[in-house]
Amino acid sequence: MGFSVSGAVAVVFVGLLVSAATLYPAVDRASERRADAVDARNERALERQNTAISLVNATYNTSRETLTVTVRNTGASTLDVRAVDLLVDGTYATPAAANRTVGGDAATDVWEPGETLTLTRSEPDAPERVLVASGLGVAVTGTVEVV
Amino acid sequence: MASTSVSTLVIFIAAVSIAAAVSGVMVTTVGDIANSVDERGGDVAADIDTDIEIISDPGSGAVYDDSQEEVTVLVKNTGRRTVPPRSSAVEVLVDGRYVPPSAYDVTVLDSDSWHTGTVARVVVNESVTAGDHRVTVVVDSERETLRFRT
Repeated sequence: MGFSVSGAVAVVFVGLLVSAATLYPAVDRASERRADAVDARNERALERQNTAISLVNATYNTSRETLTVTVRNTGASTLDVRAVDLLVDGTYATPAAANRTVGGDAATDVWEPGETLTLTRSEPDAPERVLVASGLGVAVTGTVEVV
Repeated sequence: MASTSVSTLVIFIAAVSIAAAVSGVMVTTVGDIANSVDERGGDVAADIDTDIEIISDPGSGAVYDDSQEEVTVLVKNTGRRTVPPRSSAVEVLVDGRYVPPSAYDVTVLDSDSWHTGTVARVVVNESVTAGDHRVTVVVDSERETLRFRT
C-alpha cells in the first residue's frame, strides 16, 4: 500500500512539474508582451503631450497658383516630416517629399523643435482652409490668405 | 504470501496507472491553457499597439458630400501596429447605427500599407439629413468619434 501511494505521488508530482514548466514561460511571455506594449503606449502619450505645432501662415499665390503652408514646431519633441499630413479644404493633399522643406532643406525628415516646415502645393483654385496633422495626430487648422 | 505480493503489485500498477492518466490529462490541459495565454498575450499587446486618430477637418464641410451621399473620414494610424486596410478590419458607426462592411471602403493614401503615420480614407455610402451627426471608426478596441454638422 505504501509503495502504491509513493509511486502515484511521484507520477503526479512529475506531471505537476511538467505543467508548471509549460505554463510559466507562456504567462511570462504574455505579461512581457503586454508590459512592452503598455510601455510603448505611454511613450506615445508622452510624445503627444510634448508635441505642439502652430500655423505660421497659409498663403495662396493667385498668379503662381501655389499654396504655401508654414508650420512651426512649438513643442519639445522632434517630429517626422514623412508623417505630417496636409488637408486642403478637408481633402487629403499631402505634397510630395520635394515640396516639404524644413528651414529650406527638402532632404531632411527631421523636424526639430523651433524649426518651420513649409509645405508647397499647386492648387488651381484658392482654398479656404488648411489642416496640418503631425505623426501622432496633433493637428492645427487655419484659413488661407489669398495674395 | 505469494497472493499478498500479487495483490500489492496489482494495486501498485493500478495506482501508478491512474496517477499517470491524471498527470497526462493535467499536462495536456495545462498545455492548452499555456497556448491560450500565449495567444491572448499577443492579442492584448496588438490591441494596445493599435491607435488611430480621425484627422478630418469638420470645419471645411468636406466630411459629408451631399451630391454623392457619402460620409468621408480620414483616419491616421498613430499606433505601432500596421492595420490591414480592409472593410473587415475596420468598423464604422454613423449616428450610432451599424454600417455593414459592404457600405464603406477603406483606402490607404500615399502608401501600400496602413502603417504608422499613414492615413486611410474611409468613404461611407450613407445619406444623412441636415443637422448634427457623429461618425465612429472602430479598429480592434480602439474607437474614435468625429462630430460634424451638415
